[in-house]
Amino acid sequence: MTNHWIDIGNSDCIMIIGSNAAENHPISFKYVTKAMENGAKLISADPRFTRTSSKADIYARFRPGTDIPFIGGMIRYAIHNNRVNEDYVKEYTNAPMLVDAGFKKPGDSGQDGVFSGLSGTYDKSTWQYATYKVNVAADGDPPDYEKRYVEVTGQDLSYTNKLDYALSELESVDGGTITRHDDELNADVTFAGCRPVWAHAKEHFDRYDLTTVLDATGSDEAAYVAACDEYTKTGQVGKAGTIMYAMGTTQHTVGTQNIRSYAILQLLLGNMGVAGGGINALRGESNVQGSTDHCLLFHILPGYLKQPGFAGKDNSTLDKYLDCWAPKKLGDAELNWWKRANYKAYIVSLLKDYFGANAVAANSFGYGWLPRLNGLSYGNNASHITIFEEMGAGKIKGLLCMGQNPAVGGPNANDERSALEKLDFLVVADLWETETASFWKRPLANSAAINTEVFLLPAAASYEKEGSITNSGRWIQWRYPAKTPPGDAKHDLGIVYELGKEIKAIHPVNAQNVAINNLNWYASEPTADQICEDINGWNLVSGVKDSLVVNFTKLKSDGTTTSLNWLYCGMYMNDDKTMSTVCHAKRTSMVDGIFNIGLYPSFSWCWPINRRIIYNGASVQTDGNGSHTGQPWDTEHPVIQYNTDNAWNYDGDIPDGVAGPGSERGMFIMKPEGHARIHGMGRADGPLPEHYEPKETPLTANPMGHGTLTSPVIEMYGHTPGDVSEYPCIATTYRVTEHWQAGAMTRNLPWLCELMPNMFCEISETLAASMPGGAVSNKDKVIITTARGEIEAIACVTDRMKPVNDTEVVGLVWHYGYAGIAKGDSANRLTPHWGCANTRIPEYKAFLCKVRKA
Amino acid sequence: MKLSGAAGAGLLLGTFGFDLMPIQKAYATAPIYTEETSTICPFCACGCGVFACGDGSSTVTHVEGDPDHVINKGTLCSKGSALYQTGNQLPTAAELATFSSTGVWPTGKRVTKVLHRGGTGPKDKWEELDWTTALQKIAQCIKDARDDGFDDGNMRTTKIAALGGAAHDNEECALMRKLYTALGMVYIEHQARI
Amino acid sequence: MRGMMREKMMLIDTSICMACRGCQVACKDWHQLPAEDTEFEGTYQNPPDMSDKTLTVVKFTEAEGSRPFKYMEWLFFKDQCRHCKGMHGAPCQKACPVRGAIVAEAGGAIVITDACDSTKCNIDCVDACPYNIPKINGGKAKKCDFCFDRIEGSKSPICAKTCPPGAITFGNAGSVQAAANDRLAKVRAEYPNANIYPNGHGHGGCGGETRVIWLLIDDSSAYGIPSGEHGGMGH
Repeated sequence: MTNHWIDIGNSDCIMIIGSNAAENHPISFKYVTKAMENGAKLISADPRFTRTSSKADIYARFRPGTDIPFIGGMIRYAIHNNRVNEDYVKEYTNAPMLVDAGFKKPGDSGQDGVFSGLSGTYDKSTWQYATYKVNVAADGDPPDYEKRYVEVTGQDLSYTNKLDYALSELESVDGGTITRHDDELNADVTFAGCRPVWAHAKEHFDRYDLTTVLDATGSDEAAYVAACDEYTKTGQVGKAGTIMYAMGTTQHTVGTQNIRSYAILQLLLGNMGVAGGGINALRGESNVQGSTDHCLLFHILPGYLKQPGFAGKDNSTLDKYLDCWAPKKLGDAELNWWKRANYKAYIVSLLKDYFGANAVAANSFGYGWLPRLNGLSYGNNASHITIFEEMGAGKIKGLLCMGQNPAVGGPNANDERSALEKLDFLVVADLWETETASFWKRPLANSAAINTEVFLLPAAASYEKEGSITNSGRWIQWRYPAKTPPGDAKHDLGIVYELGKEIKAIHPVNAQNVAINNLNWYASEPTADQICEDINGWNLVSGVKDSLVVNFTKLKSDGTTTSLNWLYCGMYMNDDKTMSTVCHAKRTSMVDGIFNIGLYPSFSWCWPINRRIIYNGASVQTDGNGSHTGQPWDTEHPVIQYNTDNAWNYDGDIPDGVAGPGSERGMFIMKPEGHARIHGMGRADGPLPEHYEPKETPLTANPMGHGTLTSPVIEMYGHTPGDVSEYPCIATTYRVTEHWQAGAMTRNLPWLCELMPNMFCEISETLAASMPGGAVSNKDKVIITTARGEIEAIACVTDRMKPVNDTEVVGLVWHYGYAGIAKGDSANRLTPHWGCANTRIPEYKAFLCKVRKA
Repeated sequence: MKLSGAAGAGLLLGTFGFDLMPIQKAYATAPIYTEETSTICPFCACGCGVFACGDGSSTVTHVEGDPDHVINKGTLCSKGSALYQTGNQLPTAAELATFSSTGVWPTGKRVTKVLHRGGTGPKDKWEELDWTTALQKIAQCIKDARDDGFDDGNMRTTKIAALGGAAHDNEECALMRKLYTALGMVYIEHQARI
Repeated sequence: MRGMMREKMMLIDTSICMACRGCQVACKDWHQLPAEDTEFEGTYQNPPDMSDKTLTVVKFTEAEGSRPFKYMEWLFFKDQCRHCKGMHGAPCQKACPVRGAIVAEAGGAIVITDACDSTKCNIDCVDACPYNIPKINGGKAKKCDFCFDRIEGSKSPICAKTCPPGAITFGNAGSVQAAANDRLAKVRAEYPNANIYPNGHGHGGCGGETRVIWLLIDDSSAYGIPSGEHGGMGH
């Protein structure tokens, strides 16, 4: 979440799309309700009418997999009805920046639905900002803009290609040939063959007209238009709208682009950085934010530093790694937080913790001991789906599965369960005997033929151990133990520590083992506080931990600091009075901040540096002259306000790298250009979100009217999608309040099993009446089949489900499996083994099935 | 933060604005507790404050929302309200005795022993291991897999994968990432991907 | 303590409840009641009704929509004992022939005590109740006790305390009634048929016959619950 739970209460309009917050994040409704009591409208956009929809003012159904048309139409509505906050867009986004002359969009002539540069994967060079290739005759026809620009400004034009600069220069050179008003965002100009982002974006989204959108989404027209109208009203200065989303958004082949469409809408309405706004990913596990921050993911090291060799890049030395991943700033005033000096300080401080005294400047702090991703299968990839493909092919010998249950939660679970049989060994740490731990005795398995050695380690429950977890709003909170774990159960910290000790002991000193040999492991079992301090990081004096690093701006690239995660730097602090250390995650002050918008700055701690709303620089007004006033757009809910008496120069939240009024520094400091990206040139599948159908779709043509039906850059892992002729219904998976994820934590609790005892599916009355095998009544059993498998479920025949554009939608709860108290077939036996072009998150939310009476 | 309910209730009332005195139940069936331990709900990422009420060392008898938590203000949904049962669905002595002969862990009960199948153990049921043996065996399995075709050029092994982390503390995640990286593992994923 | 406690009431606002059922589970935790062995019944409602093991149940009903951009309503009704008022006690209390079996406790809670013995009566409380609340098992009647033990300890009943969106308001009778009237006025802007149940008799505002009242967004018949209008309470 860019914002946080309590902040939802500040919103004027809440759109819940791709999430079912009332069911899966019930506490969020404390704040949704608060906002509604203050007059906010609630929009529920969902293929199913859910418990969230029950509280909504507007319910807009849409076909699974059509978020981009749904939001694209809303973006068009905002533009056509003057709902865009033009000052915000002009100053805080990249709308005015020029894009390379070679850039072509899916709707452009000859593109037939794809962006320029497609050849297997995309070559993104034409998606980049313009860098002035036009240097024609010195005598000036056309004029040498670059030369003139450099003469006049003394700046390198390639890095300051904002339209403002470029066009003012153009005007002075060309006199009256192009008319432009400096303050007019909407001037569509072509400068040396390059057009601004905004011109492209408007053209792109103009194709998402109401007829096209409804054709794609199947939404009720009145409800959809009402949703567009209500939501885009938040473009008014002083109003804020928030988007609450979750896996309903991400679990698509276009998942990342779905989120991009939300982000673009929020930018156009000026909803980023303000109270009651933001892009709010509702995270579904208590510490999935923290485990992501600490990067238990193949492509990143703690603090979102790239894993060396990502995307097959040559990262063989620390210098090459930094050249590759630390960007140069685009514009002199920009902060460019990922700049080389910072990137290096963060990676070196991590290495100094990992390898301790063995990490020295002469060996690049042990950088070369880090594993590299170059040359991995499926495009240098090691994501979840890849792991199970490789496992199924017998290429992986061991799996350490700590508190995860892929036999239920993984896509195409039949295959993932079979893949476990190919392992030599499997280690599971959990509270319960999960489906993954007991895969060798699953229904129809022949345990005598399964050779995998399985260890099931008894872990400690949440209130049987101590440590910090990070909630969806990035708040890091401390858990204290209320009791000891039962029997031989042990907290994972102890398990991992002991395992590390054992591993170090049995690996002899040699070149292959250099990272293990040099690993800085604990001499005795560390406490959670000890590791928490190490996460924060230390100043080293003569190589010895001396004092805690105050915040990440103090991390050094010369090996004199350590930090297991730069983002968490500042959560643990020296207390000079007591000569001890204090963990800010343990703070419990219920006193709100100066503006009373629910930041509670002294309750727990939040990264980065306790900033509760990120990008909060954009919550202050533009000054109409390339900078800002330091005064909030929304005077009722200010996030920050300029005040030089304050050490941060701002009252309120910790300002997000905001310079004083008059500065030209952009408000989005993590980007080298300092501006939020309407045009995002880093994605694998395009700089603007274009609608592509799910890989299994009931349609034979893209409703956008071009010949590219599905995303052209999806790794299919050799699987063939099921066809609509055999599988006429759309299936989508979901969760309910009463169970949690793959179910082990709730299907073993009798009180929750009582509430939701069996696997069920939700179907419409029309599907129930026309079911092959005979009409189905509520509570009858049905069989659902896809190209991957077949499961049985109890039918919940409900008016809450309706066909969209004549295609029936089947809702499948995915919590169930063959272990625990409440058992049932796993929906993931049906789901496909392919996913998002960018993240490879599986396409759980839209696939084809058929249903018959059992 | 152990909040002793019995002692100093007046002081706590002043500090927290809420009566933390444990309830003297009128009827014998009611849960009585003496300690309230502050923890955070392990389910979704709302991060609700929870009081686990019990004797503070071996037993939790009741769980309810922490009224002084600024996000949930004492409230909890059905999952959070059921937390009592995560610590209390334990096998009975009789069930444990049955397990040692059958190797079948009682359904829906917390695992309280290291369980093992395959390898030197039986294939059709669980056997019980002690921690030392289990960790030695696991470490050896990891070493054998890692030694098999270690890629020196990229300093990595593709023979071992790791999954999980979203249910762990930050400290546990940081330690796991560190160990996996030192082993040269690259197949490292968790729930955020799926 | 009992004599000093002011009369309490509870308002359950169905326009806010989103049926997370935290109340249902928290009730089980506080009263240490076992889970029931249930089956999915084709609805989220489970267990299907209250029992000796389940003192409150959220009832789910699908109804036609009355608002422009919402074709239907999904109605949630947290069912439980109403803790009827009345000069001579609640109907169940008046009907019960067993001395001390149903008593008034802190805040006006109507509580079935250990003295209850259904072998000594004709389960008169069940017959007398206009809302089908008391359930008999093992010779005892069981129902919600308003968490009177928590009330004595100056705490809200556990269901009110645990409700995430704050759909349950508990407090002194006067302030709860005022809150109900305020909410009713607001909710009627969207839902003209909104009413206070069971005392409101349609559109009449708050009466004063039960300690637990609901704000309904539609007539009680849409929720499939007894109207209670002719329940013969507290005359």
